[in-house]
Amino acid sequence: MATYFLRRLLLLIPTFFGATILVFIILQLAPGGPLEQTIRQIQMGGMTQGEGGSAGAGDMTSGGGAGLPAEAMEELKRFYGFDKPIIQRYLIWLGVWPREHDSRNLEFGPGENEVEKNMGRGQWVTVKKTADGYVMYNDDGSINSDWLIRPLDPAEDGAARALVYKTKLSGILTGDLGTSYTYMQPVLDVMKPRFKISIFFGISGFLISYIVCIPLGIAKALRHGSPFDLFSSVIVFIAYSIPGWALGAVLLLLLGGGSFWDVFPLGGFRSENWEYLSLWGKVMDQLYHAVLPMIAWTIGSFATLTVLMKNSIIENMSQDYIRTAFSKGLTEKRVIWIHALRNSVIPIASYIGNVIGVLLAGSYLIELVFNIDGFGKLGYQAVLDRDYPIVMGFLVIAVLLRLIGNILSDIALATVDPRIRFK
Amino acid sequence: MENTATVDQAATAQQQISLSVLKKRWLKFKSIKRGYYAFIILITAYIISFFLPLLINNRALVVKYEGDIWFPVFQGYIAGSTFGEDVPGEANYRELKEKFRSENGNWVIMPPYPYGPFEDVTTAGNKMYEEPSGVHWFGTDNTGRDVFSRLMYGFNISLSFAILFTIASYLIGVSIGAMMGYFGGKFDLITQRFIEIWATLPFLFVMIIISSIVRPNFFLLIVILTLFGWIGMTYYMRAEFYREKTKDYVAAAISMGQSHKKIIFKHILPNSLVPIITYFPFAVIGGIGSLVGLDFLGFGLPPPTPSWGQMVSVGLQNMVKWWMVLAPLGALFTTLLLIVFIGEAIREAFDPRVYSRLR
Amino acid sequence: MREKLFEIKGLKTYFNIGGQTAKAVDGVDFDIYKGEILGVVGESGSGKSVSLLSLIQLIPNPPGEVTDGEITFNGENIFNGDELKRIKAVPQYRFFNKLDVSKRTGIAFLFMLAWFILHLMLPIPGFIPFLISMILMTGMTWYLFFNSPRKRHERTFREKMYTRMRQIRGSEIAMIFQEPMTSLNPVYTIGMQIVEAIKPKSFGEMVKDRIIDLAASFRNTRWVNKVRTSAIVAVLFMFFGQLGAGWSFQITQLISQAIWGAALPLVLGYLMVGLDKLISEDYHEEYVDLQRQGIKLLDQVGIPSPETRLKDYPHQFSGGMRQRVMIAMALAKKPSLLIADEPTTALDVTIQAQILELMKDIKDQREDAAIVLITHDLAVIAETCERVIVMYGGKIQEVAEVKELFDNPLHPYTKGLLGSIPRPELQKKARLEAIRGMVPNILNLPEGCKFCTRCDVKIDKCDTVDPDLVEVTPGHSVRCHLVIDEMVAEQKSPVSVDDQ
Ligand SMILES: Nc1ncnc2c1ncn2[C@@H]1O[C@H](COP(=O)(O)OP(=O)(O)OP(=O)(O)O)[C@@H](O)[C@H]1O
Ligand code: SF4
Ligand SMILES: [Mg+2]
Repeated sequence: MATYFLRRLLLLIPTFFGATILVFIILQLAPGGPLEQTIRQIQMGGMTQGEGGSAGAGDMTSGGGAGLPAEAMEELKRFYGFDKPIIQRYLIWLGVWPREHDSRNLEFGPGENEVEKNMGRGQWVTVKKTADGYVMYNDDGSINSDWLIRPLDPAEDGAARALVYKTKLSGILTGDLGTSYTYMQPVLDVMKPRFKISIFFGISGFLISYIVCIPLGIAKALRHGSPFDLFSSVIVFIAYSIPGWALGAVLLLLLGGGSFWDVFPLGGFRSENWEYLSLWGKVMDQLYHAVLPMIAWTIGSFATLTVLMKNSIIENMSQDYIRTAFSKGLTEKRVIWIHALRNSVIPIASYIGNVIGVLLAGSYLIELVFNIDGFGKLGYQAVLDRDYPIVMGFLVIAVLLRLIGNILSDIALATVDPRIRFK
Repeated sequence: MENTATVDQAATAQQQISLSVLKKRWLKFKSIKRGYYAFIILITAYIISFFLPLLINNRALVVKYEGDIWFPVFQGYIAGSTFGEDVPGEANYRELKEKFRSENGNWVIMPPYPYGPFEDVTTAGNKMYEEPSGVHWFGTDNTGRDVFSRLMYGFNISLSFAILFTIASYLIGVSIGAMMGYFGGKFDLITQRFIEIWATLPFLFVMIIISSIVRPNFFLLIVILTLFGWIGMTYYMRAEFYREKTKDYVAAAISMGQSHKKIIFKHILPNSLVPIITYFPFAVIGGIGSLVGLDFLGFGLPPPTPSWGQMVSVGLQNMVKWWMVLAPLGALFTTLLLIVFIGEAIREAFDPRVYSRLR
Repeated sequence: MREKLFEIKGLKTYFNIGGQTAKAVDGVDFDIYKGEILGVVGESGSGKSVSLLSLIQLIPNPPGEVTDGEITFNGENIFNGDELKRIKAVPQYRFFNKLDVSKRTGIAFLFMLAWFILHLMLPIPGFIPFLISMILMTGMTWYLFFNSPRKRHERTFREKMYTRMRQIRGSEIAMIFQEPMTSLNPVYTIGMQIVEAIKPKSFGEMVKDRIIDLAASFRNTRWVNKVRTSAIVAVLFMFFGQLGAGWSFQITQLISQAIWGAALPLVLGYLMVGLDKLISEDYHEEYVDLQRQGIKLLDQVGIPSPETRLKDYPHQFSGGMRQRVMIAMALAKKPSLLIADEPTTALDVTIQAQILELMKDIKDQREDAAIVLITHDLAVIAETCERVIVMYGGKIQEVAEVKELFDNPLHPYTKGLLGSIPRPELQKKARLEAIRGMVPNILNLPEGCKFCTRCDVKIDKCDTVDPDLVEVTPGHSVRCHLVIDEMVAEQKSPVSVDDQ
């Protein structure tokens, strides 16, 4: 079993890289990315201010940069990381290729070979251009090797330009998901509070659906064909035919106080004044806000799980080993709860990982309907804003969740099914 | 050559068997009333929905004006001035009908439900946010378009979309799954790895990303959805082919030197129809669900296409106008429920589960 | 004459297959005597398994049901078909008995829908009246469409019968099944399944057993291995801990992660040992005793190193070994009747003989134990059995002592069966006289003699009149018009076994 898990674990690594590479390529090569959007915004801004794009009309650089001076273009490209080939960008993002940071421009006057620069915190340095590159000297004349220097394209007037920068290894492998363009904060910091909300819904939704579906499935299987089974089947059919977010919308409309009854709040995760409520009030407020979204959250897995459980029990009840168990003189209760059930949870166990992945990261629609500031909504908003660090971070976490879910499924499966354990 | 002939005969015999089995299954399906009636209702509604322009439209079927006969439904745009109407742009046939009532010799025949899915407040006589009434069965929306009419057109679009999407993903999924199961070995291994990677991506999110970049139309959206939709089928087909491959008739065909293509499509595929057929309705459900979801997020079909998801999203911004939410969701729910009934019945017919209970 | 262990009269077992009734067993009478070995032969689908399964009510219901007959065990009536028939005379539903279940549900649903719509149209506002109306609706629907006066009677009848049956199953009647590969539960150890046959354990006791097992295995693990496990877990903890902490590599953090990881397996192990100590001494003794009994049983059926195999799962056993385990379970309580349903069909020839020998071992344990051996193989019957029942089409066609049957077969079907055995002494007759034709579909058996579609000597009335089973000589009964007619011709009055 240990080798089995080791193999599964090792297989995760190529899958993870494969998935991230795919998305990275789609994001980076697709038109209409953050660079283009910013350029467009700047241009539009320029128009409205009435200055027109004429100022730099002559020095258009590549494609979309119409109207921006080359240097600004370059600056933007560097900011969004588009100044490097895509493979390098991916490696930087991973954190196995040094990332440039703290960069500053140097501009050498015409014919000049030396320039002084304030490097912050009152530290002045002198950079000298020599035949084989640039050298940086401290105030006291010693050579400063903290900074790296590389030449840039010369300015319009022929003046030499260079970039001073530092590097460090910083990417997802070092736990750095980058900095959000819109929030100007590290991606992880942006995600954390929202992720908590999604985890709240995800985990309680997961528990609720298992707690409801497994007994319901068993009861349906044991009373197959009875009125109870037929009527609960109707509910299952209905649950299957209505997507969670759609049910959420209906519930919101009926019970959210728009046109009909005003029973539940119109959305949100908590009341505005949650902080000031008593403990009991806090709990009630939370539950009060959570009822409708929770129904929407669980309805999808409700139908699938119930049917899965029912069919699984029915199938196992007609197996030969059940007959053997009865032939030993065991009671019906024992045969069902000890013999049939253990076998019937095998498919349910392999479904666990699936549920976790979907519940935690697949809820954009519901979060949008209920206006909950969860993880999914963050991702959705990031796509709209072309906030690629968040988009990539979202994908990384979604992929990781799914992979972890797969492993969880494997573990659950191996726990209930010895045939897998001994493979 | 002779040998090939016999193998072919064997193959046809196989097919005949599976055909008669299919017929039996069909009879069984017919005997499951709920699914069968749902099937009839859905198919009828779908066929009718292709003739919607004749039934639900703001363009008149026939106009007689000054001795000339016009067929605006088929002719398309006709300026109002043509009929002596004092409106900018297209003729307003409903008003025209009122006007002609008092005029001799001129008449207009309107479709039974004279409101189209695209007209809006700019069209004279339309109002925003009208409550459901005998005139506008499901009211009007924020731009004065008739909700009922948009729903009906949306039905055709959603179902066509889902069916085309399912067929497209089947074409890819079945072929790849079949090849994986049939050839096995390295090809199988590599494709499996690739599928695993592909399946790990959060499907809807990547869809959103792609759609936000390319702004898809109907067919492009099918292509994009298919990029992810084909995976589900490969698992079934791979298992099916893996099993069938070991059977005698395949060995015979291989030893006769028949081409792989022929063996896959002529010999094995007819025997692997069960998952293909039973999975179909649920794939259609998935297709409709994805389309409506994407439309709801604003990344689906471009406006002003009448799409249910987009109608809900507009409706939700204005909770007081309940009909704008309930009507499209009701339509979505009814359609999906019908398909679920069909799917359940098909599954029951093809893969009957014996319920046996010892005590 | 020996004492009767079982007396079966007019046993009928019907299956509902897609709305049609399959008369798998249709009026079977036979006795099982103490200490005898009874053989049952017949082609596939003739109802052999179903007859014997009906004996201990192991018929899946639905789709099957033992609808009629009388079963007496050691003089005690354990199934009475007349009582069941009386119950069946009570109408199933209170109203609309003509509707079948699906129509019934459909109409009930429409009724509820109508009620709902009516409620919406009537001006009764408010949530509480709505709730009351809904409850009323549910109650009405249930009463009108689903209330069944019969159900209660039926349930008490079955409850009583099954309760008695469960006492008999295993301890008095044990059964070995046709399919050794699937007859063991794949998710439990052989040990658990054998011990269960001796004494079923409650869920709590199963947990206790697990604790005892784990504690024992922890105690028996050498310290080297314990340390190694701890080290591996510690490394894993550090890896994932660092992953979570963004590879900070702080020394204090690393150390705490390592300590947590290393401690975990040991803590769990000692937890098990501690819990083990909490379990009472008596329970430990019982556990060990049951374990020893299990080992003895496995040893008895010839499974090598039974102590270790007890902890294995069924998929680690071969077909023959699984069948041995089945026999071990069947022998566990020294039953008075062992039913072996083709115990050797799925196994290869060398094992067949061993298995048959093993079954006869039950005789060593209990003198008066009877064995019923169901088989296709007449050679096995000739070798092992004392009496034979020949079945066809859900009915007994001929019953006789083995010698009598082989020497003097009367029924054309029996003759056909005997003719299809390859016999070396009849070298001249090169071709086997197999019975022509195929077994008819269970759903449309002929109205008259069940064998008439394949019988070479049939007469006119065979097609329409089903002959009675008549006793030709003491202990030899046959169901065939030819034989009856012959007896009439010889002025003997045939006595129908059916009518007794
Ligand atoms: N669970 C069941 N559901 C439906 N029909 C059944 C079931 N079990 C048995 N039957 C029917 O009862 C008939 C008799 O079956 P039975 O198992 O007794 O045959 P058999 O004589 O034991 O044959 P074999 O030698 O193949 O074991 C069969 O035709 C079968 O169709
Ligand atoms: S009753 Fe007739 S058909 Fe049946 S076995 Fe005897 S002769 Fe043959
Ligand atoms: Mg049998």
